Amino acid sequence: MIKRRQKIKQKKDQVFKENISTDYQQHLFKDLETNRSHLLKILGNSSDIIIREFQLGKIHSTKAIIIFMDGLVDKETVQHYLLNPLIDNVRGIELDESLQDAATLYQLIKYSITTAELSEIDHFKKLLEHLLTGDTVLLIDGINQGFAVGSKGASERNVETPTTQQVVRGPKDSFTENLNVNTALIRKRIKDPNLWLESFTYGRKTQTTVTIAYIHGIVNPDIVKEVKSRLEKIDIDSILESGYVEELIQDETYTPFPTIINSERPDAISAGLLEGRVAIIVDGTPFVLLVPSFFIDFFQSSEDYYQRSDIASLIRMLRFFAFFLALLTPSTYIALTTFHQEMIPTTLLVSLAAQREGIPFPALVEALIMEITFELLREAGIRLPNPVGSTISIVGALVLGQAAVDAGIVSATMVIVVSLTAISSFIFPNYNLAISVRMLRFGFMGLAATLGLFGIFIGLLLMALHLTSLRSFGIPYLSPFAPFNSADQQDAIIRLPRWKQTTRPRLMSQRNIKREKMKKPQPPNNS
Amino acid sequence: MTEKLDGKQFTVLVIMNTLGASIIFIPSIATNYGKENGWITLIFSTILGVFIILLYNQIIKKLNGKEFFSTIDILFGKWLGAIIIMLLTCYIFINTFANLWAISDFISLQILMGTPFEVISLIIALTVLIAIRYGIEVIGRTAQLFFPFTMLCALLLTLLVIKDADFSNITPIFQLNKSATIVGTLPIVSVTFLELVILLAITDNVNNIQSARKGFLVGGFTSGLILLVITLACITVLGVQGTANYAYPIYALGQRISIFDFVERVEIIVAFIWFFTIFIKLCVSFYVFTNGISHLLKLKNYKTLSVPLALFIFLASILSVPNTFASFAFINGAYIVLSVTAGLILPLIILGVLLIKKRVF
Amino acid sequence: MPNIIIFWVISALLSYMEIKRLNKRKGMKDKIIFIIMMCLFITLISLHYLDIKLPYIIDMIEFVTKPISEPLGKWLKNFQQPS
Repeated sequence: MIKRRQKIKQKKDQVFKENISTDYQQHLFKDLETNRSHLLKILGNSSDIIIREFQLGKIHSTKAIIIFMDGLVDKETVQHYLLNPLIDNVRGIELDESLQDAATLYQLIKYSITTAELSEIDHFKKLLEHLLTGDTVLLIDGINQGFAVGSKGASERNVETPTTQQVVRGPKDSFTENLNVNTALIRKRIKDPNLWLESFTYGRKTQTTVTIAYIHGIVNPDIVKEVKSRLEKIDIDSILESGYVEELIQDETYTPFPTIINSERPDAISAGLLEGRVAIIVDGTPFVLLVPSFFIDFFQSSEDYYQRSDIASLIRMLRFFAFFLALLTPSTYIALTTFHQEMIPTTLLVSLAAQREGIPFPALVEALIMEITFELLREAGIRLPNPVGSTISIVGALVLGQAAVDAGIVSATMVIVVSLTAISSFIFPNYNLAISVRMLRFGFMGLAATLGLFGIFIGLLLMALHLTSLRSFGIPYLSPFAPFNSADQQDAIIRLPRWKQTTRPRLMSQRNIKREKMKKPQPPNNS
Repeated sequence: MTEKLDGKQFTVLVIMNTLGASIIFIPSIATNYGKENGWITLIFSTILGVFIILLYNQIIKKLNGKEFFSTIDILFGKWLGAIIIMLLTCYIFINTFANLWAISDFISLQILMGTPFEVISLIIALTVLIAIRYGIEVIGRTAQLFFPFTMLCALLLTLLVIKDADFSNITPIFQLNKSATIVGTLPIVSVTFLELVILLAITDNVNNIQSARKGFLVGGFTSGLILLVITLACITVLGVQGTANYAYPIYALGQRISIFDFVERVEIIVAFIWFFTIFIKLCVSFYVFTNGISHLLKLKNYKTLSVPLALFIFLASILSVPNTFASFAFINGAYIVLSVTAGLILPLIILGVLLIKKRVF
Repeated sequence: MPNIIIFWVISALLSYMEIKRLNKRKGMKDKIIFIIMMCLFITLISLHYLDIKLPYIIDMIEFVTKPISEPLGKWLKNFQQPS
């Protein structure tokens, strides 16, 4: 039954593919008009195609056309370096009988075009590739070949300051939607011939360029191979953001934890490359992926490396603390007030009991009301048109919280608990982990309400088991903690001073481990 | 893909398996025999334990990374091998359900009053099931991840009660009850070091035999030391009578903690130590148990039987012991016989045959 | 009574997931042994919940080891603290 259905499906797919491919595989015609009508047929007479017709030569003139997509090309380039030389130079030449033969004309035109990029095309498939990426196509009557002239120049956003991963100290540029700008931003930072880039095209409809970058000699070649083999398996109609790629190449889909980190900061990506990771840059999005990435990476901000090591280490510890606060505060509150009152100090217990006296709900419902309200405000805050949105949502939460306490729906302690959770969950440098914490928090609340602290233990155990089973491109997600690696502790919870971090992370790069030869900086001897 | 543990993870597993069930009973058993010399019993036990581990290490050396169960099959032939594996598996099974009973009983009596024993037992059995489905590698890593916290809690526990310590409780040192002090090592070794025979079955998962042997010894010695410190703390703080009378003396120790008269009743950290160590122990013994049964039934993958066997240990834990008193009699009687048989006599036989049939390997 | 229903639901869920996994692996022997074991233990646990007294395992073990454990236990008793 299933097999038959698959067969039918396969057949349908084949018919669909053949239909399209015969159109695409067509060699260019000799006749210009046929070419033009065939192209218009393929593109369905789209309104953004611009076709400019002109004459070559004086007496025995030959017709030629240039075709480009409006908005994708830089019209200046087309005007100055394509049309001008062709019309000015070639027109001046009297095309006599001897020049009439196609080959000569072809060569003549080839040498008179003055743009940097020029390639010859002979199939419609190639023609469309160039046309749709913003090149200008030149076709001449009587010749079954054409030219694609590099004239890409769609309007682009400039390099601006990053909006999601802000730092106090550190470079203020961020990636843009243009892949070439992005690779240039990395190349500017790492001027090493060993920085290798490889490009692939994915997405049957979108034809999106995906570039992987790595530093040859530092990166573990097995990881590059693995990345490539996973990318090769991608067969999808569209890639609009790096999230598509991330979802298609990650090790485990059914997990709340992100196993691939993304960043819009060129400095963070460069640092990752220098540690021996592979960057995956997708055209059309400023978010660049970095693999393999570990749990610990989501606690590290690029600013940690620009600040003094002691403060950076303390802030990292604070982030770990915040992780557990964000994850466990509401559930611990529920567990303590429902099951383990004896653990609360007596004075506190008395005031808690007094607060909860008029509250009609059990602690779980109370916590759920507040948490869900907060999540609503938070999500609404993101959709508000400007960055003030998040501030408004916090203020909203506070005002709402106060009102809820006055109305006797929730206790004041609960508001404190929820606010603490909320603030803690904003502390992570990477947004992905905050989302997983948000999800897991509710699970822990449920466990706490049914089994108390025992439930929280069980939850933590399950979480730990799951985390240790995860891998990112074959490397354990929780490294360097489990499996424990003492050398990599230099840059995990604490960050040692630069001169002490002499090695690269062990698991990622097996070769070229030594990073620097630096002695402890000594003040000059003033004896 | 074969799962691999490294030396550190194996060491942690050894410590967890030794401390597992015992950390909460040992002070009580030790003082029951040696009275004020209970901690000296622990010293003797640790020395004895090190010798037992040396025996196991010899077996590991001779096995040289081969699988434990299939080696027994090769050594003893089809039928005798099956009987030996069956005996070992039975012992491991008893160990597994007894631990499950112990932790569930403890939680239902001390932490979650009102929640029925069976619910807790089922939840733990299911969690263990999930853990072993992930494989021994993940269990090892999880143990490694929680290990620092466990040790930190143990350290905190001893440090925070040290101000209540009364060292007159342990005097006179080794003057009275000498024979009882020495005899007490028997039940203690049988619930700690002899149970480590279970770990022989996972040594083929350790990536380096040398580090496995080292880890075995280091782990055993460390856990002996921890037990010694805990027992000492119990006797000095709670007194001889107090320690012997409590079912869970270390939990009582935790109840004594008071920081600035504000943070009180933090015995939950004791519960955490115990729960975690016993959980890892449960995972390892259940893993070995399913592997043993799968080997007997000639199944390739242990995961097939993990679900029904999880139900089996759940059932066994419900039906294990009629009451706590019976469990105490069990530890001081039948369990010693079982432990000595499975943990000492069988390994000695295996080692003997390994030495004789040296040429086969 | 509700206990047994909850238990049945849990075991049905587990069996379903496991059977699904085993179907993928195509091992007939595995499947048969799995089903036999599952039936056995579910029946036993159901019996327990239906208030049919099953023997305590500890008693069974003590029955087996009796010849050695009983004198041993008595001997050890001499060294224990009178309580």
